[in-house]
Amino acid sequence: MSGSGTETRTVEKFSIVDEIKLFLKEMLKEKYIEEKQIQNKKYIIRTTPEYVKPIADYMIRRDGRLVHLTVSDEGVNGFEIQYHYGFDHLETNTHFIIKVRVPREKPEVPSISPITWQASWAEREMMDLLGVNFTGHPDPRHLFLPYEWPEEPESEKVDGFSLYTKRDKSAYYIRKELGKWVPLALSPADAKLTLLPIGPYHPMFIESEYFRVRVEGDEIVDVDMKTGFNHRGVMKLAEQRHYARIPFLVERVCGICSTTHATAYCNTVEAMLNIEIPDRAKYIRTIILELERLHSHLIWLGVAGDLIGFKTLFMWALRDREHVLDLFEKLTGNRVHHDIVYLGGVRKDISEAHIPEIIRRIEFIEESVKKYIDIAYDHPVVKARTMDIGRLTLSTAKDAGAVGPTARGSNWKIDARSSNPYAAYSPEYTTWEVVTDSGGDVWSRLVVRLKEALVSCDIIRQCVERMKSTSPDIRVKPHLPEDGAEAVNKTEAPRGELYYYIKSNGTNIPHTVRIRTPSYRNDAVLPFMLRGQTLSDAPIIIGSIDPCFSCTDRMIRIEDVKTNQVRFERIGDLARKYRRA
Amino acid sequence: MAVYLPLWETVIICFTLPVAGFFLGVLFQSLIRKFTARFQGRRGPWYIVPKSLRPVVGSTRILQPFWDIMKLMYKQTLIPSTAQRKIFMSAPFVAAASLIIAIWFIPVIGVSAFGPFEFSLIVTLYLMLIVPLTIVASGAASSSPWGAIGSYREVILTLAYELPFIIGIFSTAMLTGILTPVYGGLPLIPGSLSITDIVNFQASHSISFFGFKIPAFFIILNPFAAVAILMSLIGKLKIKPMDIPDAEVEVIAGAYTEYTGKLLGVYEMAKIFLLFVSLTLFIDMYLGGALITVDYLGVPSFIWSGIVFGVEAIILILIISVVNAANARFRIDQAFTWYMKIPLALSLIGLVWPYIMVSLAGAGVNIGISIV
Repeated sequence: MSGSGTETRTVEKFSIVDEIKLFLKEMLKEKYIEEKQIQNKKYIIRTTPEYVKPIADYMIRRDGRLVHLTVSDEGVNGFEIQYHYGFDHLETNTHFIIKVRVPREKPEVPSISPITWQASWAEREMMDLLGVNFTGHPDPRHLFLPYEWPEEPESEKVDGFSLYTKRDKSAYYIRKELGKWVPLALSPADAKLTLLPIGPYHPMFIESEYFRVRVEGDEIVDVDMKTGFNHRGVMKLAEQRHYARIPFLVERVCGICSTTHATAYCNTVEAMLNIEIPDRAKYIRTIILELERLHSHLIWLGVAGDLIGFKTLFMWALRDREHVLDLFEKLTGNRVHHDIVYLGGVRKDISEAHIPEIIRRIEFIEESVKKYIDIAYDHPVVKARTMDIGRLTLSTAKDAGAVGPTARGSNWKIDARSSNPYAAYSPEYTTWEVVTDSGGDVWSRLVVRLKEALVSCDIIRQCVERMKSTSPDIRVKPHLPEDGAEAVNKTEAPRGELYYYIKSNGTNIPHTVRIRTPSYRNDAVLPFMLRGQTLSDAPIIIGSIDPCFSCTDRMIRIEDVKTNQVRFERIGDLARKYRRA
Repeated sequence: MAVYLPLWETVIICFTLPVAGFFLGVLFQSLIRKFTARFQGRRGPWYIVPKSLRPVVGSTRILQPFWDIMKLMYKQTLIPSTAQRKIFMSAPFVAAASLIIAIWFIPVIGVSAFGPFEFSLIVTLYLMLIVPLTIVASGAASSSPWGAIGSYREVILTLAYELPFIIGIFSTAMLTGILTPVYGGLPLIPGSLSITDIVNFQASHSISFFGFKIPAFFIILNPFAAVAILMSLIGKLKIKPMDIPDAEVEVIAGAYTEYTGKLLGVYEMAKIFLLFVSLTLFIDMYLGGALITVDYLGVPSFIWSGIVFGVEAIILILIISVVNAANARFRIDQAFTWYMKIPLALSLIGLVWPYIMVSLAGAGVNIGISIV
């Protein structure tokens, strides 16, 4: 795959890459500083902060997606702000990374959130974590940090009230006493509106998330959401570990889609090293990844059933998921965190003796999934609760940056497995089709996930069949990446596109690790789906994106053991403090 | 005129029947749980642990709903400072008390304290309607937004299912009045509103149903009303498509959100009583009240009645469990629409069905059913 792509492409008349490069050269002129191609069709362009907005405007109008926006701390060189634009839904593998540098003393850059909603959360995250100021952001509230976090870190006044009302004028809450929020009497203008808290702890969620829902009668008028209750700082932890230990760390980002994180990380490091893993390892990775997708979609089906009150569906789906977990235990030794994908290949082989059992259990699951598809098409109450609920149009999905089954349910054919082939997903290994549905409602997302489960069964069967004729090698030995090597890679997690960016500084510890999880994107799309719906439908709409709030969040809470005091600090401030010391 | 039992027997029945009803309700509840678990393919610990450990985990806990309530009775009761204390605290007791009184008016295998009272059916309907009223009041009094939403849903659902329920019940009660004159040759006269009279009518008449001679079950004489009542009971008992007021993922626990400890325990008891009252009322109205007056095989008739009551109750519970397991939850507007379409239509057909039967019999048309 890699390598031969550029030669065959040059015979085409005028590709997207050439067009974008030409335009950027015209626009930036002498500010078009440096161009580097990392891996296959992934280009890095360096420029200055004043061109950030025109570039974003052009890229979004050219039908590009802002895959991620992140900031890398480059020490004395300042902060490096990176805009990762993806065109892989138009042309395979194509990515542009626009980099600008801002000084540490005055880290300011114009915000591109007014241009695209996709940048909004990422900019808020970076304001929280590294203290970079995105000027002109329409909603500069904290994303992961608590709202009462002091704006000036040096200020001793930890008074949440002043900050909260300054930043969010529409809030109807005051802080009466420390830690307790009570609803304030509504103003006459809003007397018919009611403010309801959904979360942080609610029977609907397994994890913690806070939705502030403003309802008029039964109809949701406005939604605001707050994340950050599960933030564990995985990216910072990864920047303090040896390359060889990170696969086991990133698997702990999510309890359901763990292997896909390890695969994305290993793919990225392998791309930095420019090594190709053995075919057998590719097939084994694919089998585990697709089993994981089955496991995730089945557990989602159960939870979605529970959210519309279908307890029987919940019990049946979890019974079938048990078959997948049993397979995991047989194949990898673990039921939840498999730890089988490793740098340069896989850690464990799948023997011939396991194959009949894989086939048998996959057949059972396939039968069950067909039954669930019948339920989705025929059950009157399920159809009544899911059809025409939580509609997400194709244009909104594109603007807001939905990924995965949420986007495919809105008829957007976007799948990292086909647009950015990894493991054994490319056509020379397995053949399969991307599943889409044109409805855009909860029912479409339900059907897309169920049909994807059937596709997964098919891919596993193909892999098991073709794995027999491969050589027994399952791993090549990796070495350390050289200084300045960087790579991006994405995998299709069960919830959507998972994006990794890693930069090396020549040591055995990566300089920067950035993870953009699929739920991070889909959560940001939620308000668009919830507005105008009834409160009864809120659980299934929130559930329909298969939210994984642990994935979304990544606060540092410092407890002073001697004085028993608790204080909060920004990660960026802490890093700066320790660097000075 | 109504014939009552002697005073001392009435007093004994007033005390023993609610206790027996409670434990029968516990039994019904655990049967619903067991059936639902089987339909959902759940495997409890009994099936998974080694055989030697089975006595430790226990195979069946028939009294589990009872122990659930007892556990709540030992728990601390918290009352929100913003709640309307009087209404909040009295509502569960009113609900349980009204159902205990309702048990006095409903004959169980023909045994009843005030069943022969001329208007016992109307009294029972009123007492059963008090339960949703207390739930609405307690949800509103709890000062929780979820309680308020639960109350609002309870009001709409009660309005939806009460209409087919009342029409269905009265169209059935009319049967005692209408069918007698048809075969006695008299014009329509109103039937009896005493549940004991309804039960005795079914026990004392038999019908020829396509050649088979069976007791005059009203479920055969007016099946439309019977189905409408069963559908309404699903809403009354909060069985699956209609468990909207206390849907946990949508409104936490609805009106019960702020209830804890003993007050919640009393509400759980009221739910058990409601299950018993509803099933017994259905058996009395449509399945002959499980009343057998002949000592078959030398065995006393009340034992036969008990067996028949048990079989009929289990069939009803099986139907309820299937509905509970096979459905997702409606939204409240969908539930209201559904009740206004199907059960209301069925109950209205049930209302005119006796007149149609009378007209057909009068015109000499054989519909396969006749009273002999």
